[in-house]
Amino acid sequence: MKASALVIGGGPAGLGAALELAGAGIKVYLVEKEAAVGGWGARYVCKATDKCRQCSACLIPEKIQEVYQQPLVEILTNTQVVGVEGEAGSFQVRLQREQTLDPALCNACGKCLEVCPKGAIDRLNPWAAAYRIDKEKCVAFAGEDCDLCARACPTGAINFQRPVVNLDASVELVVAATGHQPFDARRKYRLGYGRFPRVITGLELEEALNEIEGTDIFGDGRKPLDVAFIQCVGSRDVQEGAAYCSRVCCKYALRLAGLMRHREPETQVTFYYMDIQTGGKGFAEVYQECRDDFAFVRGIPARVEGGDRLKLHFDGVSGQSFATREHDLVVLSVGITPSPDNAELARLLTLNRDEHGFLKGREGIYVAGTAAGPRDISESLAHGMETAANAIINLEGREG
Amino acid sequence: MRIVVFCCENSAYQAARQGQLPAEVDLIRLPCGGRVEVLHMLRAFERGADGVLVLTCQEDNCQSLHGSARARHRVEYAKEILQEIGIDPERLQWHPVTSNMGPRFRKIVADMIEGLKLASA
Amino acid sequence: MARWGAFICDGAGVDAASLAGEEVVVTTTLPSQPGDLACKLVGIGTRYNLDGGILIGVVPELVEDLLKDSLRQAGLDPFRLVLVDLRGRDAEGKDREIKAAFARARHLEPAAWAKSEVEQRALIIGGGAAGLQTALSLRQLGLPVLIVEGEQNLGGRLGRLDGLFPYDEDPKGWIQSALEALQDDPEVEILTASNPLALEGQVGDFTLTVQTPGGPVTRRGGAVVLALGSEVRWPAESGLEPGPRVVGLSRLDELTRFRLHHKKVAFLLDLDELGSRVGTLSALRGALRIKDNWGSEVHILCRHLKVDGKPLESMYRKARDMGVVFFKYEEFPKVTETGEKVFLQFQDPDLEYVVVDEAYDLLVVEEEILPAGEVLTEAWGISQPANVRLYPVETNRKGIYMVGCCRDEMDFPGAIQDGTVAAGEIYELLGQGALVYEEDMVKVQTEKCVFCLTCVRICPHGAAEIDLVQEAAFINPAACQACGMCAADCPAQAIVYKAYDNTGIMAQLELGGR
Repeated sequence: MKASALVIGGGPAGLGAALELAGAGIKVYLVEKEAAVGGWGARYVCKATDKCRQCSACLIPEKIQEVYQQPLVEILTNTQVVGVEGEAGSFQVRLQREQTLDPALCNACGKCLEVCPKGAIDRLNPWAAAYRIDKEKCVAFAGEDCDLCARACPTGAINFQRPVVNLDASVELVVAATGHQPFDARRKYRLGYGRFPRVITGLELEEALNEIEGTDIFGDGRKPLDVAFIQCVGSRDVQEGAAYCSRVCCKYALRLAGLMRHREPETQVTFYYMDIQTGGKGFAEVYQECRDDFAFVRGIPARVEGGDRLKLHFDGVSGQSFATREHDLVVLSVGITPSPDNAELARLLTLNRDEHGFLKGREGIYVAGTAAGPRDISESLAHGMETAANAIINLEGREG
Repeated sequence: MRIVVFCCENSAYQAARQGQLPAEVDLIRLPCGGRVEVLHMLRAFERGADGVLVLTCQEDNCQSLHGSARARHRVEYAKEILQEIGIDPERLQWHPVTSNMGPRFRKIVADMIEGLKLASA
Repeated sequence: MARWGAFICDGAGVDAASLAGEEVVVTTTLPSQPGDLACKLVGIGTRYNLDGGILIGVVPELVEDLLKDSLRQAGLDPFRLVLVDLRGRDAEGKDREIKAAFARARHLEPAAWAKSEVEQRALIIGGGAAGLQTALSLRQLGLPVLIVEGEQNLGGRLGRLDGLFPYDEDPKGWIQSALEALQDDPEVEILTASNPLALEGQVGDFTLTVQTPGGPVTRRGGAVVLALGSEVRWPAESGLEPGPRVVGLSRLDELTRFRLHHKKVAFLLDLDELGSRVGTLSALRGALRIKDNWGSEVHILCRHLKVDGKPLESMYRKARDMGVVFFKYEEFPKVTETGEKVFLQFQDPDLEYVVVDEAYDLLVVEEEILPAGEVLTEAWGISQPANVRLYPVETNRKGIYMVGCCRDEMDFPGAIQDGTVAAGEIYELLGQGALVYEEDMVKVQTEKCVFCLTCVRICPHGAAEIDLVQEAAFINPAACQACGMCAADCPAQAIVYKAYDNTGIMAQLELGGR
């Protein structure tokens, strides 16, 4: 099929859609605003204990390798979509590529890391072949005069004088796989996130467990041995405008707890929850295995107080009367919220949003993955594939 | 010292490439854990390897369904042979390492090097 | 003697002079941009008439398929490109990686490519939502289909629903429009009241034998889709007996078609401890209909309310706002039946475990939903275990897919997604009308084969076949997924996996003795 497509976002849904489209012979521009493809899932840890727990995090490096090997997919990192015009079957898109750090020249030697005064250079995920500059932290992007990293780079990969490149392309269809934003746990002030260092989010636990073996996640020798998981943080919460279940938190939290216990069998785990969601192929077995190992307590604590140990206070709702329980690590299972970019994307692509703020597709512009609603990694991959298959069908219909 | 690491290209081989590899390591890429033979492991020892690792996918997510399980069984069998011929069977190990487990790969290799150093001291 | 070239990428940090000892006819450096790299590789390969190349770089795997594709198009042998990945290697390690690559390269044999025509038709077994969606999508992609359905009518479980449907589509209307799209299409064959008897062949050329009311018929197709649906089972372990006051959720639709006189109705969910989204969905929509139409008092009892998916949470909120009462239980409720009433006694953790005693006119019980057709899939050696690499619709065998409720508990949008994804996969596989594969990639040396059939038994992909003429095993190259398990297990060492044969693996081991 002689056609081309723009896929916005290089997370699992974008990767799935790009591979499916390219498989049908369609040229794909895979645009990623970050320095590397992979999305949130690329930061997650493998949650296998002595058996696979089907978290699908291992599929991401494999899908990344597949898209790199697919000649019809052109991967554009550090690139933003700035304009989309036209209609289904004939879109003109304008892309803007920022290339201060050229990943093709970077060999990840680490010399830039050593000189950066702000710690603004890092790897987006452990297997990214190149470094990236965190524009939030970098002072040069804030207008200050600093080019220490550029001078330290032996291959000339960093160059602040390199101009932003504008790219124009004509495509028949667009897939927006722009992803989501994990719920900002600071909004739940009473749960203590941001105030007590041993209150962390599920995402932070993922990343910490991905970097180390064992469970000494703070690196201070105080392994958390009594861990509380608080579910539904920012999900099923009307006050936060999230009157929906995020679908992923029960699964990742149970798997993470299982992993911590596998690494450190003395770890005690308590779940504070409303309803445990066990949907998805093979997950019921995972839950049944966990059920005897963990304590399950119905009810979400009203507030968390700091101290040597963290105190979880209950306010009398949900059978917990006015109890107080203590733990030495609190993990907030933060949910999936619509990306803050959705308003801008909706304007740029002329899309509508649903009542929660997730994107809805229209003719010629398809929405895949968590941009359209909560999904886990494998569901996002499958949704990307489904979306792409529908796009191909519509394209065939238009041609035939 | 020399450690031969048989890696499934779907998993451990990708994990192996996520960081610095110790100089002692020789990687041998295989299409699936199920491809490794007892003969390969024994030949590695015969040709001077101090340790041999067989690193594959988790048993329940092998692309070929039973490849990892077969690799594990073969390693167990080869360990018995090593025992009989007087080589410490701990010099041969099987571990599951998925593609996103770079730190785990390095930990397994470091542990083996450490163990071998202790054994030879 | 083979002519090899050595290609060193910029940034690999390898000095061309260090390769002087190896048997190469040309050594050159390459740019790091994939496109330029492929051009130069092909150019030099052709100019020097090379038999193969060693590519030394950092992360060359990322461009492996791209390079192999370019080589293939240029008439060069892609399987004699050996990659050397120097990521994370010090000087000594680099040296050894390169030596190992040369050792392996010396044993690589040239590859031969084969192309075979395929049957483009997809054989779909099961005419429920998932099967019909697969057929609809495939037709839109221009591929012919066969649908085999055991019942008289298409539609499966969806066809038995009447209005109790939480999605935008009306189930009867959806089936009707699917039928309209399919029934007059000359590229669609529908066999109803028919059951599959046997499946033979491999990807690209399957033969399905079907028992039709008129006798057995055979049909050929390039891909097979199993859309076998699900079976509903009464939860006998609970000790509950179906009767006038105790009914299964699956009967709710027919019960609520007419006026319901019951003043107080209870739904009892999660009998098998876990329950399902689909069960919760049915209970919620039933509760809403009963509340809406007849104003009965409705209670829903569950262990965990399933809310993980559209439109569960919003339906739950709506039901709650309309006055449906939700209870949680941990210990299974005590159920007693006396004449006109069913009594439930249970403790709700949310109510501080006080004992709740309620009397109902009707108790609706969630049944178990089990995948159908397991006898068939087992007999045919087809499986889809909970393995993320097969997600969502692939099976252990190439060209055979599983969609809908026969592979997982599923609601209507899930079945639609499965059908669409399977159609996309089949289009990718068969859309070009031919399969291209490497011939003899994994080959049985017939003279060594003792016909023990170990390979036939262990091949996870059903690619090892019996060749009665040669009295030897045969690895079907189109169905083979190149894991090498058969080569490793063959007791007679009769199977050669060209890219990973023993001589190549052993050669890499010869570098020791430090």
